[in-house]
Amino acid sequence: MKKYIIISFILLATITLKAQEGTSIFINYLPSIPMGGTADFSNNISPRGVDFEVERFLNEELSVGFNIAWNLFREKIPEETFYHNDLTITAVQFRYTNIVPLQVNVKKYFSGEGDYIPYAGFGLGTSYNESRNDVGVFTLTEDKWLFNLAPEIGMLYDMNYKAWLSVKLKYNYGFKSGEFPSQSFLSLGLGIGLK
Amino acid sequence: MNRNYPIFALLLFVSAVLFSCHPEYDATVEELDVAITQYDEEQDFSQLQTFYLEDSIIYINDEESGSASVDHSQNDLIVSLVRQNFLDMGWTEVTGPTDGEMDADVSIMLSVLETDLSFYYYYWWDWWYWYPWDWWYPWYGDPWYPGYPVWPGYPTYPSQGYTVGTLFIDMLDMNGAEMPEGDDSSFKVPMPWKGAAIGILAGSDTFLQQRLTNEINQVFKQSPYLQK
Repeated sequence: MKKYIIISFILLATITLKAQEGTSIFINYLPSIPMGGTADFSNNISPRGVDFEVERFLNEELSVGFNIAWNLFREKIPEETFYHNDLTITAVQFRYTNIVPLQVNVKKYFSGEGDYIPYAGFGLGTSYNESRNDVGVFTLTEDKWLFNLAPEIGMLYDMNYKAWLSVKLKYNYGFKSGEFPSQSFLSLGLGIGLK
Repeated sequence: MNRNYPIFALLLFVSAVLFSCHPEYDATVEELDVAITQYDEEQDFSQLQTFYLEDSIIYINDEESGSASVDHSQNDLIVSLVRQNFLDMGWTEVTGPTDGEMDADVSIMLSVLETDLSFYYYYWWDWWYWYPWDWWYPWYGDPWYPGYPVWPGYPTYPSQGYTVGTLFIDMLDMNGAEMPEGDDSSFKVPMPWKGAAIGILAGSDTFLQQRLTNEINQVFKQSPYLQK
């Protein structure tokens, strides 16, 4: 269900965005490596990730924008004994982590010669995090909104007067909240932007 | 802003496909097997040395909503596996309790669900009520039952409930049974230990005997405090 909501959101935003001078919209494919608390729960490199960005260029060297992403990590744990409350359970575990960061960001561009424009950016916001452990017929789920920050470096390629190609390396970190552990992952983004 | 919607739409499509492409694992029947145990941490298991095991299994059904078909052909295997595990852990079996006396330290009850239990917190009130106590413990005197619900003390299982085909192995301390004061319609039996193999008898499976053996053995393996 969440999948359809996010895809609908992206489609809607794509259709309804009005053309503005100096505004670009990007969509990136976002395979990711889980780290820290995310890797502790679901430690597999994930090919499932996507983000959507709107960037408003204030000038040639600076933009501010909005970013929403979705990353899904999963791991199958072979049969093992673990503890839940006062229960001892032996089973195969199917673990899933869904993370949806929502950030505002600022990016600094280093314009040089040619069509390649490197940049460094920083995002700040929140993220929805859901950890789910399917054990036989049982599902143990925890979810939390976490304060989130995300530094990134990347490069834009000026394809033509209409489009960018984008490549980036982005680190996401969601701070621990209560019993819910911190969540972090490193993403490689490959995408396209419309000017 | 110029638009390049065909490329953009293609990327959206690729993203959607990536997410919908088997985001969930496909589990085999064996991978859905769960062995689960719970015990009373205040119980001194070294004080419990003998057990009584009824050679029958109670099938718990729901007359109102109907019951699922569950394989009854494994009764002998289940009983023998449970008995052997207790013996292997150093317990002594007591057979044929005398009338009105509780010769064994604990009684082991085996039951299988033929209906789903959705709300485990009410589980004890619900399904223990179905136990035909007068048949199950014929030596137990009339003044306390039959047909009264039993309230073991530790109803803290996952709240999703238990599914058809689940095998329960329950250890009851019948010597510790209590009648709540001023309430002659119910009594309480302590459960020092209980184990379950979730959903294992549901459906048909050519490897059922192997799975049953694995899961019942696992229930005991993960309960080292039962070792004598």
